[in-house]
Amino acid sequence: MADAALQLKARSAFDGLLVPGGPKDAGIVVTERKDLQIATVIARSSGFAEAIKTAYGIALPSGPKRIVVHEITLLGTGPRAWFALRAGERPLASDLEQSLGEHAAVADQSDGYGVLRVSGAKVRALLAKGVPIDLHPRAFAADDVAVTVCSHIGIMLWRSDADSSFDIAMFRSLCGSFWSWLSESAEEFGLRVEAE
Amino acid sequence: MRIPCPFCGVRDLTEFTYLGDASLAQRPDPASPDAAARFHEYVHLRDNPAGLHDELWYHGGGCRSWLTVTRNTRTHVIEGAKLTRTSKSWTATS
Repeated sequence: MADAALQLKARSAFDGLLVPGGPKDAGIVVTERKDLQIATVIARSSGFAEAIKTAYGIALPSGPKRIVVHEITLLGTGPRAWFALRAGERPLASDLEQSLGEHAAVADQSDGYGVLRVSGAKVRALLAKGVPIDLHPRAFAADDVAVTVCSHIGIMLWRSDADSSFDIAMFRSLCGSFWSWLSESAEEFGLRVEAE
Repeated sequence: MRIPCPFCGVRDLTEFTYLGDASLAQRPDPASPDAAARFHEYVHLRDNPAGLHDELWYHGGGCRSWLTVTRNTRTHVIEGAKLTRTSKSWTATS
């Protein structure tokens, strides 16, 4: 049994689902964001805002907004609650715990979520099939975040850097269901999967 | 029907779960002398207003907050919605 443990290998959330390839002129391009450290942050005391300011020199916006500080992306997901992501291997949850101390409850979620980057000329037409909110730039700005559902699957949705590009996070156990929705819905636009 | 969540903005009904009368968020004091009568009322007796009604909705498909929604039971017009819990910690970032 001890030998079996030695053979355990980390698998990304969409491992075996996403197969790189697809037409060059595809309307939808999908990439899995594999290299992320993820944590949830919940404010526990009125000293939270001050602790954030001391550690990162910013005031967190309240509401469903995205802010990037020290390479950490913070998404407002609810009253007093944030979803934090950072690319790379460096553990994020322990860093946040250290800088926020007793003022926040931090939980490592790096293995708990799958994150996809969905882009392409037809990305809004695709998401309109599953997401019940308006994603036109007039209604959903560059730093806006939405916690909502897509085809009955709970998701977090925000714009990545480019205009027609979104990042979508969901519970890891729902990645298979989400992929079956996305791959079928994207068929009419053409779908290309790219490696990160 | 769409509900204006104070955190997320206007969202579709399917993201929410209905619980009922918002006045029930305050449970009677079990130590009070008339606790039995008040709990009887709390558990079993409901008003059935025709018109404005404060009710609890859970935004499980969004920010996972309990909301107090004021709805007109005659027309289903939503007059407004606010976060049900308002402790000091809610304003931690303001």
